Amino acid sequence: MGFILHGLDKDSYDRQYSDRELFVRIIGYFRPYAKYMLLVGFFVVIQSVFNGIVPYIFSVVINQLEVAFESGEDLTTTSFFYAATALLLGSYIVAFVSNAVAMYFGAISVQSSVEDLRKDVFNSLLERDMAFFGEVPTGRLVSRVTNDTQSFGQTVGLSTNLIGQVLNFFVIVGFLYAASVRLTVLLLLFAPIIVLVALSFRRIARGVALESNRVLARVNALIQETMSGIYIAKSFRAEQTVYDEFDEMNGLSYSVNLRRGLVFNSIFPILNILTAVATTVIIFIGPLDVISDSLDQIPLINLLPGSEITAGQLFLFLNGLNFFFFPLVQIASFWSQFQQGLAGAERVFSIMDAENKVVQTDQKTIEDMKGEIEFKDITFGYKEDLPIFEHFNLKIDAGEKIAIVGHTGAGKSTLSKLIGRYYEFQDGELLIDGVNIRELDLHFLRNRLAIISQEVFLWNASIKENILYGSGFSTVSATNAQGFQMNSELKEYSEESIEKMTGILRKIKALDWIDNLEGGYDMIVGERGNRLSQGQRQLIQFARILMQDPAVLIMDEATASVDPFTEMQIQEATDLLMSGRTSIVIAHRLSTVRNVDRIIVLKEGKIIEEGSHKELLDQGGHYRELYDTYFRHQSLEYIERITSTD
Amino acid sequence: MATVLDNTEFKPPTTYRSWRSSPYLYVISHVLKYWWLFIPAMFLQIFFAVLQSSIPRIIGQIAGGLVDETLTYSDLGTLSLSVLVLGVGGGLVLLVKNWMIEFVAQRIERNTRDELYSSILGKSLTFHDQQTIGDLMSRAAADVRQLNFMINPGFQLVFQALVGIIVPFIFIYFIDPQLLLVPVIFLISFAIALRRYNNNLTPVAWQQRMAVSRINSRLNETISGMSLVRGNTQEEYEREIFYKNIDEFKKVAIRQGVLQGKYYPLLLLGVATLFSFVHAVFLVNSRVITFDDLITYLLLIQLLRFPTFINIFAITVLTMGVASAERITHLINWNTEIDANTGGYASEIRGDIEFVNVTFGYREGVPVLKNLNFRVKPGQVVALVGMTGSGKSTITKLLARLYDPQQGEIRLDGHPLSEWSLESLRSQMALVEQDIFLFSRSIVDNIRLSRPDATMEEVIEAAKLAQIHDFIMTLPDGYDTEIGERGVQVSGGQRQRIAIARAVLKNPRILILDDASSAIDSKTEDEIQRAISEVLKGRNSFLITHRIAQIRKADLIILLDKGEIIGMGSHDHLVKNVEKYSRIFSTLKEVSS
Repeated sequence: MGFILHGLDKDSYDRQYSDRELFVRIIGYFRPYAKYMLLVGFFVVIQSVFNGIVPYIFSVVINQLEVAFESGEDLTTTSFFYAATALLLGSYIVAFVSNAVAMYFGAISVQSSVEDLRKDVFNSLLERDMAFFGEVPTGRLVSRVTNDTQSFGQTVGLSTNLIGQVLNFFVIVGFLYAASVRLTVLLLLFAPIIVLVALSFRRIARGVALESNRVLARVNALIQETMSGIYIAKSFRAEQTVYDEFDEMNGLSYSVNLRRGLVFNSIFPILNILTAVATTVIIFIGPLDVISDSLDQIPLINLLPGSEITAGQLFLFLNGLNFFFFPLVQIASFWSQFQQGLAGAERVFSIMDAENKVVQTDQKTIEDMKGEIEFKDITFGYKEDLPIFEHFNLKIDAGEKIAIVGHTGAGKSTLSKLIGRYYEFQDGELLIDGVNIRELDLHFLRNRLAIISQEVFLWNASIKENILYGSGFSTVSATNAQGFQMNSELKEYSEESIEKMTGILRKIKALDWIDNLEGGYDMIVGERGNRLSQGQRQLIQFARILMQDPAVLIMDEATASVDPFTEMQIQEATDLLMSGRTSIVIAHRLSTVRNVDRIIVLKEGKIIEEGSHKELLDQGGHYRELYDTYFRHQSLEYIERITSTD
Repeated sequence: MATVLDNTEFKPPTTYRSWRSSPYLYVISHVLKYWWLFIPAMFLQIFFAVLQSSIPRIIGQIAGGLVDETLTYSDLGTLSLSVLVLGVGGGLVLLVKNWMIEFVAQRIERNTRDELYSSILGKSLTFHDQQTIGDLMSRAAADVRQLNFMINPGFQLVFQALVGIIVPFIFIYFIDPQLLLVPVIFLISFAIALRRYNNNLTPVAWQQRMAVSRINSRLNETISGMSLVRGNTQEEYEREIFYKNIDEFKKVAIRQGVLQGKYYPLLLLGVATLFSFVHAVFLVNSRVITFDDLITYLLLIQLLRFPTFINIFAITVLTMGVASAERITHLINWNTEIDANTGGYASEIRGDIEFVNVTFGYREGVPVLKNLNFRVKPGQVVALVGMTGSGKSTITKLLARLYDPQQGEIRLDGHPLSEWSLESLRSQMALVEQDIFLFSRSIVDNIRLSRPDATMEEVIEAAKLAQIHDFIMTLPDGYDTEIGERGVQVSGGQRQRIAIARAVLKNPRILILDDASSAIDSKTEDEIQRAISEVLKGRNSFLITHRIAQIRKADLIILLDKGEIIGMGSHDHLVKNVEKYSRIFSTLKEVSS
């Protein structure tokens, strides 16, 4: 199976399951639909039998006709003929209906179990550690939830199909055997050839198909990248460079796909040729047995009972060829396709079984949470042998505003990730209002905590929906869920929520520019909010958090890059945000850092200085150094000095 | 029907003379380019059907000979041999034909993608702003591929089915015209059933596609915004959306299963086989046809199996292809205003920039800039100041003629921008943008993007100036290090410095720095600034920045509010005269004290 995995990236959480484990689990998903599956099996059997009977009845009638033709009787008036006709008509109808019913129940059971699997994997995603999402690219997870579950479903579809094919094959061979053992054995000699051709074709095809998928992925990536950077390509007149790269990739895609296409398009002609050879064998050997006894001279063949084959039986054999060849091809290719489905199931189960490192031991909630945070003897490293914090202690009072400053890598953001339970610390205790963070209900904790980072995430929905997301007002929308993402219908919110929102927007002075937008707060913000400027995105995020009204606020380099005017405005909004709750500001703008109650200076995971801005500046230590590098240029004294010396 | 000459900012090496007025014509025009392969392939298809339909006749003779016991050993040998020749020959013809069609289909994928992509590349940003990348991607990748499938297997199979029905009919006619009775009835009912089937199936196939994209897009967002989902405890809500989306998919998938199960043509074929058999038996009885005619006839009827069966999906592929062609031509036909203007005015920019009554909005009727008037002298450093959304970046985009104003005019050195050759204009400007975009290639390629012919020495010089050289040297492959998803991750400050190096390497007459150094610490930034002003002495530059020190140093400060200029002049002038401007400084004072 090595060639299947070749080129498919493995992820850290991927695991290996034995085929047995996989089977058991897959069957588990079909257990609720066992009734349907049994019906599918039943109707597939019926269909195969009746499909197989048809050529047989034909051959019998033709035989009778042959006799009647020679004796000059009129077959059409015999009850035999009527019975045969009725039987044929019945067979056709029964086979058709059985097939339709089997497909119906097959679709129901396969799609239902795929749906169940998707639910399970989605729910497990909702439970995974936050750190998990930082490590695995989103696209990869999406494809596991949609594509891999689909190929899981196909596996089952294939299996029921296979049952039908195998059955079909045996029914046909049975009838053929009854007609002529000798001819049947000769025909069966083709089986290994066909299987061999199908398998080797499969192998070549798999190689080129994989290559072709990879090229398609690269073409996709290239288009995505160049379209994201079109603004740059245009302003630098780099269209030619971009085009050349595209052209090369498009050419590569063409040649790979052509190769793949040529291989795929060869299978039917080759089967056609094989069929022709088999047909020739039948029409030569069959009648030969009748008109001469030369076959009885050949050793081995003479051991097989030969018989006087009739025209009807000849017809049966020729007809049987189709029913004989195609099932064989499908049977031959079944196993590798089946493996593919198993691999899909394996990837899905891997997500479901990935172990969370962050484990809550209880589901406590804190009534009227104040927001006191205490790090007690905390030891943590992203990798256990590389600790970032060792026996770290810090107490933040309820309602206190602190700033954490330090060079990159000092561990500033790590602190916020520990409070947000993104990662599990290795030793020590982290207390929120005196309660061990491990005993808290995670939903509760996250609801009372807001972390603002530089990268603002907005839904591709209206400004209103973004602000009101999760504020408990979207009860109407929940039933309208689908409209949310397609932007086809706007959700209705209560008067109260809109009022509250506009109140907040007025407070943070965002109402003004929002009113200026096309559609006001019903404007759709685009993917990740790309139709708004960074400052605007930030303000919308602020409004959302004000609606949420958390007890603890962490701003992680949140407003590093906004213009002075927006900054002024954001500053007011920030003040509003920070008032009345515990606020932790990480390496923020000078103005914010200065206004906090306490500044914590971190270096390599240790608190080395602590105090107010003025105290620390006067100390002339590490803070002073940081100040000179990061903040000084924002101070007025500096500006005055630099412009006067120019 | 001639090709429409569209405006384009980029002239690709190959232009296609395709007809774009309708999706059908579009596909046909691309196919016709390979008529010398396509038309012979169709003849081969007919030839194959003839070879295939000849076999039943021979087998009929053998069967007949068997029945009336006239079959001789040598007859049998000759007849069998001819079946072998016909069968194997037919297979080979089919093989060659498949290859020819496949070649055309692949060519069409390549050519249409090329045409679409270069057309997209040539369109102005007014177009790009209205597209989502996902949509462009799906058109340039999936829809173009659909055209490929539309030819092969789509058209190829439908044609094969058509020929595969007509040719056996002709052979049947030559046995006895009466025998056509049942097949003709079958054909009519088949056509009706097939039409109904496709009318039912096509919308379902589309719904299924839509359902998949709905699942994917929301799932994508949910996973990207997972911290938001959890922070607001919206798991329940997201679950509801997801369940609803997958449930919709399930329903559509089941409906598709039901429809495919109810593919009546298969039943019709069965019934038709039966009735033609009965009919033939009557004719044999009344000695109108012979016994070997009967066998021939039955085997010919058997040949209809493949054409009937294959249309379960072949026509759907064809209609999906037409829809894809429509989506493709829709994009190509989308004309934008800006043209490369290759014969336009070209000269070295002096830097006399004039905005005259400029009004512009990204969407008609929603102006971002309103009636703007200002003039910049050669060599001036201009700082654009204003609130978020006030139109600062938009001014720089108009200057680079990434957009055209809806009203008014922008003049550069006395010539309206629309008179300039786009090449000359843009090649003398460099821009460092707010959200730095780097391509996933090597660092040197990224820097060189602005001037592909720059020597390594020049690249290094630019990198040194942008204070990024030392960092680059610490990387495993130095300047050849790949950055981005598959390569080294670089921080915001490093990205900005690479972008600055890229801009400097271009040695522009006009430099635009749009919040270009927000993530660089102030010490380094100071050094970069000094170096840039040294190198670009006497050139114009436009600054959008939150570093107040830089604003103060500018020769001309333009203060914007909601797309209008509310103040213009030097720092001292503005502090004295414009309240909104002086307020920034007073708040800063408050903070500092």
